[in-house]
Amino acid sequence: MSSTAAGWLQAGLLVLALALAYRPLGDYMAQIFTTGRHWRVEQGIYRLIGVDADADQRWPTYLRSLLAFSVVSVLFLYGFQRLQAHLLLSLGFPGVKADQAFNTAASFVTNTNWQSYSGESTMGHLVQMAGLAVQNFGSAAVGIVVVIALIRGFTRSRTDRVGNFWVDLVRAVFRLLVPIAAVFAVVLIAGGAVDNFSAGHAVTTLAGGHQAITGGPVASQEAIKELGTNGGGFYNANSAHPFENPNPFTNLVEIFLLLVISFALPRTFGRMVGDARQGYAVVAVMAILWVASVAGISFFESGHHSAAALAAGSAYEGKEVRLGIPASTLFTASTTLTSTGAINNAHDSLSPFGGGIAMLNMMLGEIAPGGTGSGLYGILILAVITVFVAGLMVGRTPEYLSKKLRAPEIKLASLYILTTPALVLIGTGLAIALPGEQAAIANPGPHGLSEVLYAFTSASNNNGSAFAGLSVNTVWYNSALGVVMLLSRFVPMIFVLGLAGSLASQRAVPASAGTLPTHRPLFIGMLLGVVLIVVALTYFPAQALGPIAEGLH
Amino acid sequence: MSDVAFIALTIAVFAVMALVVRGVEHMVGQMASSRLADSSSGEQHSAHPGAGSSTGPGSGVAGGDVVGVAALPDGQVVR
Repeated sequence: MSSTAAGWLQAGLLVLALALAYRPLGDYMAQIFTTGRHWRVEQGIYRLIGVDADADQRWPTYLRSLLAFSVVSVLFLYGFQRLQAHLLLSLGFPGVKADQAFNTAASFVTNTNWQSYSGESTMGHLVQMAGLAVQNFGSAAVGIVVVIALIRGFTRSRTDRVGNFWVDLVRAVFRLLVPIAAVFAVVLIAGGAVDNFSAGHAVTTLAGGHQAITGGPVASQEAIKELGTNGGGFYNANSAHPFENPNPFTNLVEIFLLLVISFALPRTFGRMVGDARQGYAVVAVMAILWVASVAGISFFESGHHSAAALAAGSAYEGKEVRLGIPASTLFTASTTLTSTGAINNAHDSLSPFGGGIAMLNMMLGEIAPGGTGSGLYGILILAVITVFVAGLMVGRTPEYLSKKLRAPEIKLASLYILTTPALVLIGTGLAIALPGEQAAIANPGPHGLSEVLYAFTSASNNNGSAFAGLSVNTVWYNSALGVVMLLSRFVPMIFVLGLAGSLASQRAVPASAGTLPTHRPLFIGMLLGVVLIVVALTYFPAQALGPIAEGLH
Repeated sequence: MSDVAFIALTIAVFAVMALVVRGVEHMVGQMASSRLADSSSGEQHSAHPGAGSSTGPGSGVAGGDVVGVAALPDGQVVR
């Protein structure tokens, strides 16, 4: 089978699997967050942490619970890494150095999973399992519960209650993430991914060199790494490592996992607001952007004009031959359009325009379909902006899902839109301006700028993938990127939950002749336009100096 | 930098976010209060459409009282 045919087949199977999962998974998630019944194990947890599971919280209380959970998680994970040398299964590794431990703790708690370390030579098995993997579940669940609270803002009236954070969190973990991750961990093991407690084997290579091959609980971490759109690899090579992602079958399973929850959440949204068409409109926008991105990156990686690429017929530098170009570009588009950040090829080796699209995917705010929960609340914020803009243009009443969009709602949506670009551009500017940090850039010219821009774009959008070519394991980069990850994750959440509270406090207004229908193709087109215009106006100058300048050179 | 510095940095970042929460709470609270004021007196409100009326027998709220955003303490059942 030709590489092109294999690529079409993989893409077709992926789309089919996602389409089949849309309704059942979306409905199941809606049921999880609307049922009044608690499982017995959940009741035990609530009693343990002293939560009244039947009591809803005001939105500020919900938000403070989320922030308290997160700050404790950061401090716990920081301490866990620092004390690694004294823990079981440390494999003889010392404690992680302070700045790197801070960066890693911030990274995993924020669902970014940016890694300034090599897993196999830095982290023992206990830290990987009980520290990092636990946060893979927790951080993914936090994203989901925020969008559920926002949806409740649309569905509830005359209240400031948006749910109970602890109940939502426990349900997201135990009813959704753990069961699916457990099943797919077994699937990945069956596909050849390793899962053991091996401390490593010393082997002699064919060339006579010596190499230590580290094993570990890889497959079990791999499943939630993709399902929770986390992306932090057990190994430095991430999903390009044959122990994490042995073959095209596991590659396809991993892409499916990193997309499935985020693509099904619009169904949950439609179900909870009582109009499935609203979910279809949102998922249509997500799907159009995803298809365009896959097509764009595949085009540039299949026809790059450098000498090596011309000789090989496509841009193979930095890609796994066992996976091929289509499986690499499918993975790259999917991982940068979600907040996953796992990689199965070296993004620094992408063609300039291919790398530029990967960067653009993150700059879009990762909404197609985005991270677990964060993708949907990101696109709903843009939908709010779209309804408002449409109202200004044609005199329609700015209403979305029976809620009027007034000054506070638009202020909160605007603050949400501005937060991430500010962190990306200020962070990149500082890194370029500080003389001591310029030494970290491995390449001169536009590509060097792309490396720094990519790093701050990845951190600020909680993606976590790296362009490489940038020495980020320094005190400044570890600290700066750590702070950026925390702010870019939680400050937007504050605005989202504020918006949820503001919407919930309103009385639902019946649709009138002046209400813009938000389930029709016109709205889908308008939402796409707003997405592209907001991003283009914000990031085009930086993109022009980086990947576009390099590509046109 | 020492452990104390990074722990302090973490707490400082979350403290800044707590201030942002206060600001947003103030902005949203003002709007919610004005919406309550806009509602006609004597109107009865349910905390949640699916929760039934929050006024009436057994609710501890007299019929005719306005039960709104600011009046409900944390812990009110609305699911």
